[in-house]
Amino acid sequence: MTIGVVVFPGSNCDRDVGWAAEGCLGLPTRFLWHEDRDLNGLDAVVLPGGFSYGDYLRCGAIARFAPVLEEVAEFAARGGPVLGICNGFQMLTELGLLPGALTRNSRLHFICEPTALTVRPGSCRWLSGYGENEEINLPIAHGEGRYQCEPSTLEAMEKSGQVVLRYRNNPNGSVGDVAGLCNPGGNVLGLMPHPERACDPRTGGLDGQRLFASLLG
Amino acid sequence: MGRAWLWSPPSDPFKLDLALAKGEHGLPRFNKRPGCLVPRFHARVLVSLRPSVLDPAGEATRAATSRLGVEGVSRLRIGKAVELEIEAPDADTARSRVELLSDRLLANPVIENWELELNEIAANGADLPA
Repeated sequence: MTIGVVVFPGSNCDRDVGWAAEGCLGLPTRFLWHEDRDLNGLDAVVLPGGFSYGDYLRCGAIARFAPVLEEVAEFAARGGPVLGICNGFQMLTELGLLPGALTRNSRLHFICEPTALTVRPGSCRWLSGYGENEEINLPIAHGEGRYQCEPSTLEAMEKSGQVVLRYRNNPNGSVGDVAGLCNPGGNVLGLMPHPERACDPRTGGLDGQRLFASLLG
Repeated sequence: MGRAWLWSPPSDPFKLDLALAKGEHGLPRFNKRPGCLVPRFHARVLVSLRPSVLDPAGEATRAATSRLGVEGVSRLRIGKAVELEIEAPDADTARSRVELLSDRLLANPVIENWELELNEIAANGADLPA
């Protein structure tokens, strides 16, 4: 089991993910440069948080055209587990692997704080270690995390169980309190909170650890 | 020094006038015979948030209008304008290329609408009327 962590110019959570996976759980991690195309030998891919390519134009809009993401999209289509955290979630929506878009927080502030969430894992393989309606705490750190989509899209995703993470006290104005979404196949998860920052007891909380531990089966 | 030796303007001003008289516009190309010009187009893509999408930055700006003493601003939405120049054999080709860019890169159709203004650029650098 090896996890690939994509490093874009401007990523700043790549090493945190490496520490959470390899340092805390002993899951071997390989860093992938944004121009790499070789995903051979990887069992899962993580798109980390940060400000890829400066997040010019829109968050994730330029990263979407990175060579590595073509391969990640194919990997996801073959059923490979893909996790997009924060900026990674924004990339997944720009790529069209998850519906909707992430926009400016309703109160304009960059929000950096622990946030209470409700998990509804359904068939999402990344969340198989959590109970139905379990309440967890994960930190958020974003200026553009207000999830936005057509009401009909939201309704369809709620019916099919794709809204797997919800804010208990919606901090950013997201429709439907959406904090994280899974694709219908259950292998692609995008979320704004940072599970990798809740894996080491020394830095606060362990609620994110089961997300990475799910890869161990 | 720089790259000045790569290309210098034709020494014969008559040649340029001839190009203008024939209605040829755009930049000379180094890899083609002298005097061969590729049309150049100026595009302005206006990207705006779709009406259904909340614009908190626009709202904050609108709140500031009355603080400046300007009353009656009932709606203020912030978008962006992207200016670009593109070489293409003709206006239709230029338009379809910029439309593709607008749809796939410059705007995200999930949350944004866009409009395109396209003009050919004359030899003197000014936009020709559409």
